[in-house]
Amino acid sequence: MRGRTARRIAMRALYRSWLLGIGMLCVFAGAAGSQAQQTRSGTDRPGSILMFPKVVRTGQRDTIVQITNTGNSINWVHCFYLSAPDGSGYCGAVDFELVLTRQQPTQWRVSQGRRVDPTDSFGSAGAGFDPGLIPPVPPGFQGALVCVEVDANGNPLGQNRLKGEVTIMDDSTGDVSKYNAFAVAPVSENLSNPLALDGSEYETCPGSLTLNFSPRGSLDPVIENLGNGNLSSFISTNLTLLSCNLDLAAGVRSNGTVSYIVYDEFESSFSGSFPHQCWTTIDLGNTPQTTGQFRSTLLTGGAIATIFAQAQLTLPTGLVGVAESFHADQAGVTGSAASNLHTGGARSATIRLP
Amino acid sequence: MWRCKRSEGDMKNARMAIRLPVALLACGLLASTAVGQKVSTEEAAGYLVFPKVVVDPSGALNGVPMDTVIRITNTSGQPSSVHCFYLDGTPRCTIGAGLDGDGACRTNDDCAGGGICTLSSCQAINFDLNLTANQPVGWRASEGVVTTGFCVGGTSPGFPCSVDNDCTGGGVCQAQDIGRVPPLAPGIFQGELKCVQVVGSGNDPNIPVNRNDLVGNASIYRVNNAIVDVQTYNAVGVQAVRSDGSSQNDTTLVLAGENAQDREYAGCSAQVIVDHFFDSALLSAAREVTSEITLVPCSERLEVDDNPAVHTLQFVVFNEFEQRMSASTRFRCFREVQLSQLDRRPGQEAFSVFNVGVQGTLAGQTVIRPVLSGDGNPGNGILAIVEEFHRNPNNNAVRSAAFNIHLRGDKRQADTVAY
Amino acid sequence: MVTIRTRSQRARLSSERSTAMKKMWQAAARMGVGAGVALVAMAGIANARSTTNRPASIVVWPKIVVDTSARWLVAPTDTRVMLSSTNASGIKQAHCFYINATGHCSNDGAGCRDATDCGGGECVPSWNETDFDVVLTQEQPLAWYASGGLARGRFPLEGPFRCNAPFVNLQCFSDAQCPNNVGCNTGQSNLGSAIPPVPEDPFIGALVCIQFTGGSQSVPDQTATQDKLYGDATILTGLNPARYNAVGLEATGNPVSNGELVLADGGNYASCPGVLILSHMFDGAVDPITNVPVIQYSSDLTLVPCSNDFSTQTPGRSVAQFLVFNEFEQRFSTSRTVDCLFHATQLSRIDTRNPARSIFSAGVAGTLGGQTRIRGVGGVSPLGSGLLGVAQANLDFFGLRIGSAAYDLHQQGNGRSDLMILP
Repeated sequence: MRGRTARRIAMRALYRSWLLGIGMLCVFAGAAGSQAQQTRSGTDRPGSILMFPKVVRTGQRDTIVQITNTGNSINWVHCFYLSAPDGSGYCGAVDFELVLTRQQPTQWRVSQGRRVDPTDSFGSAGAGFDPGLIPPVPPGFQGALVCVEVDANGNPLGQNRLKGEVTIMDDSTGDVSKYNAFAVAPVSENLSNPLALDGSEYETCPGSLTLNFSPRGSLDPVIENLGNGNLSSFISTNLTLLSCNLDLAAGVRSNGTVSYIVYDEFESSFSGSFPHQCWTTIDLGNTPQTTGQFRSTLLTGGAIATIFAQAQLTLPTGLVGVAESFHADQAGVTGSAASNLHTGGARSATIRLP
Repeated sequence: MWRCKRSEGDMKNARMAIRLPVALLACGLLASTAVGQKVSTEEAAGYLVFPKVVVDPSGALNGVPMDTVIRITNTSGQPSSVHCFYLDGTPRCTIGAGLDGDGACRTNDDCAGGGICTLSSCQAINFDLNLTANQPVGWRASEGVVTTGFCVGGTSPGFPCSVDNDCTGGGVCQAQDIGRVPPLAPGIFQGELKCVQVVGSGNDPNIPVNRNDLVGNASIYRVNNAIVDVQTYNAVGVQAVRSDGSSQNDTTLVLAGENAQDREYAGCSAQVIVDHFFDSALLSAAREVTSEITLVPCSERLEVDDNPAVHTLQFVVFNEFEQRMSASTRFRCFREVQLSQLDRRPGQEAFSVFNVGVQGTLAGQTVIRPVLSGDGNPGNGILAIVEEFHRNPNNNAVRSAAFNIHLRGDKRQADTVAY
Repeated sequence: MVTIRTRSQRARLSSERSTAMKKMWQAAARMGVGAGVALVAMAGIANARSTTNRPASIVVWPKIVVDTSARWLVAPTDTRVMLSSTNASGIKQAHCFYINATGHCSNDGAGCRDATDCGGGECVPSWNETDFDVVLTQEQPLAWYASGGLARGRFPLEGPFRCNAPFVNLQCFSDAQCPNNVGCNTGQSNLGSAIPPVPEDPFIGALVCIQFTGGSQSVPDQTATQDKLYGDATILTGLNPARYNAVGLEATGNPVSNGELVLADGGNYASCPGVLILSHMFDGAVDPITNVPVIQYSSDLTLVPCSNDFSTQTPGRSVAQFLVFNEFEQRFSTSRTVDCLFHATQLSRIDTRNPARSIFSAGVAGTLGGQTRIRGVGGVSPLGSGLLGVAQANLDFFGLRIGSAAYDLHQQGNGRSDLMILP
């Protein structure tokens, strides 16, 4: 009897300790859970990998890239220009290296690159510590830029200090658009090549993208009210996507399908998909896969009856993107604006450096 | 007859056996409801801040009429109620009718008889929106939403309407009532918009709800018959700490802070980083750049405080030579200013630490740090957006682009938004 | 299982049961009586309330306007103030305060209500008070024009009186004037009263009167004959009258100490209302009766803080929150500071300088009628944030005023504590 009682007491004590332990675990799990789901990647924080989805040198358009080291120590950066895929879906890469001193901002125009020239005059484009030799991109270039923090030996290093912006200019009209680079933060101090964007070495890439847009062919309400609209203004949107899966050693070749659902202000929904390679730029509503669902009813085949709509893109692999809208009046005078897409969810990806 | 009865100990053991899985279940729930919390310009959030909304139909401010299109989207599959505030940060003359007859001004020169152009108050006006599942909505800030539907068909589909006659070209008016948004025209308006996801029903429908379903962006237009200039920025989203749909206790949002139990939303950052071109930088022979920054505080006492707190900011500026300079400024409730006028008066921009003539390089990095003041300011966080203006010196044509700032670090003191 | 009891057992059980029942009913009765007493006791406190249609001990006229030269309004304007006593026996003294809230334009120094009166300048607010006494005889009504006041010699019952017998043929104003100490038969009179005119013209402000006990040791009246005053005001703009009842705050019976009148539950007087409710037509609403587009409504609103520190000349200050509902139940809100007095010449100038885009405008609200709930918050300690107010509905034809009517705001709930500090 005494033994049974003692056993019961012991068991109860054990249960209580388990409950206490579970409680403690819950608290830590809750905190850890919040930490694990709390990604620091994005376009509004510094990171160790910068992804600029849209870099162009076409016709009259050119791009200025700005990168800044926000830390107090030297930062080596390995950058790659990725060109648009060829017919086989292969995105070529051209790389170069930068060295940024503490807190140093730098910039270059992609059509010109940047030379190492300490004699640059005060206030000129090349004034400042030249970060390294940066090659110009060829005329007609459309693609992306990816930059990775490395150490002096070229091995990945997670200092989490880089931020970047892109300014796309039209030198014939003076028009300008600007967006922030997507920065991926490191999670671990132990980084290796290939870079694992899976939440264990680096943060993940977005699993979904949300785009606020106006359907192609919509009348622009502000131009109609203030400008030369005359019920003939026109809005179009270009969407550029860059895969997070990048084999920069062997060349980037990835294929997939992006699924989307479009909602208009009447909650009507339309869905579809379009193919995606390593890098994709698409005029929404102007391609076979995005005709009706991204078009205003003012255009043939258009399905969207409202000016404001949203598209939720579901991605097979991690993708980052930028949207650029073009607003034209009756005479064709056009203004453009770029914006980063809204993100959600998480997708793992891998970036392999040469 | 004696009935078999379970012993006291066995009963206790049985209770233990029940408690264990219950504890595990509760643990699972706890872990699942604890979500990431961020201030972000990309992810859906429960509290959105649009730092700059401008309306100027007459073009008195900059020579070209201006308007802002605001878009808010409910990204979830459930309806969402939103409680929004416009805050009027338009500087007005103490004497004189100003630029729009109501005293709006840019500088003292716009005021008559010795009047001073100053921000006298931050008048708040609020309104409510009701968004259905996955619904995007948008409106022109000048026009607001004073109709109950959108045109379908005809020559102006998607335009707001209340009756069929409002639609041109034979369109019909289809009802879709999202709420009512006051117009900001006629007259000049410069200010910000803040929106909170709320319960939407019950005794107090404006109690915040623990959900993160909203994304938004704003497009600022400068348009006349010859110019079309558009810039777009993402609204800053402040995520609720929890995302379980529960109601909060009051209409005061607590953004981070030292006391974890009091936190309701993510916190504003300790520093704001801006990459920019120095003012008057020549990117090409036909492109001279200036930048303007719009600053708004994280903490607000909307519709409660008629005396907004003063915020002090310190700026540390680095050029491409890694050379460092600094400046500081103060503002209350809203400030839109050219970078070179942060530390210099209008007309003296060439001597500013934000000017290329002083810095010698095109690009710069500015780190902005709010300073904790001793005036009982509940919080000192700030949010901002930056606009670049590219002017062609040959013909003075100006085009612009907006972009979001970067955030860095966490601060210990909480910010609060009371309404 | 069946329990069998004997007759004696049943009787005993029955007796015990009935005793227990009796005790239970007695306890219930005691509780009921106790509750009743408590209710009656509380009723004495709960009865103190703010009102616009019952006599009270504090009477507030939120809007007194004088504009004899028509600087602000379309026609010369004056306010006829009426103060009455409902005391069936004996005199009642009212100690009154004119609150001058007339602003002055920053450009020319002229009096103003808001910036619209300044032709481009700002209306710089100011505040000062003038106090005076009014002695009312039993059941006496007394009226005066704010522009002129009522000077000594113009009160109805000031004498001269008659000495007591045998010198009844002698006129007197006081005992000293009668021989042989027979005394002067003053009876009930208005002696001791003097009402000044408002301190400037144009003038906008408020009037507060507090019932005092009278006599040589006059203190705020918390006696059995408290709550005997009521009042109203008629704003005359040309030939157009607009009349409203003054707001009354009943006394609780708790004596006042140190000249500090606590307006709160458990204080000296009723608390100010928690919410003021303004039912109105939105500005610019077309008159639904005539349906003529050029005949449109507008409304003006005057709010005054419940709290004031007359001893240090510190006016009450709070933030008035406005919740505006249209007929679709859609809601807007805004807020404005009430610094000693808030007057909006049009509701649609409360939230913006441009009425066309105001949330009080029919074009924005989308319906003709609206309800606005007004709540005061954020008072400066120790003064509270309670508000009182009056509205005026105006009918305009091509912008010309063709009619107006003043009306009181509805009240809901009790506000927090307010404080009136006497000099």
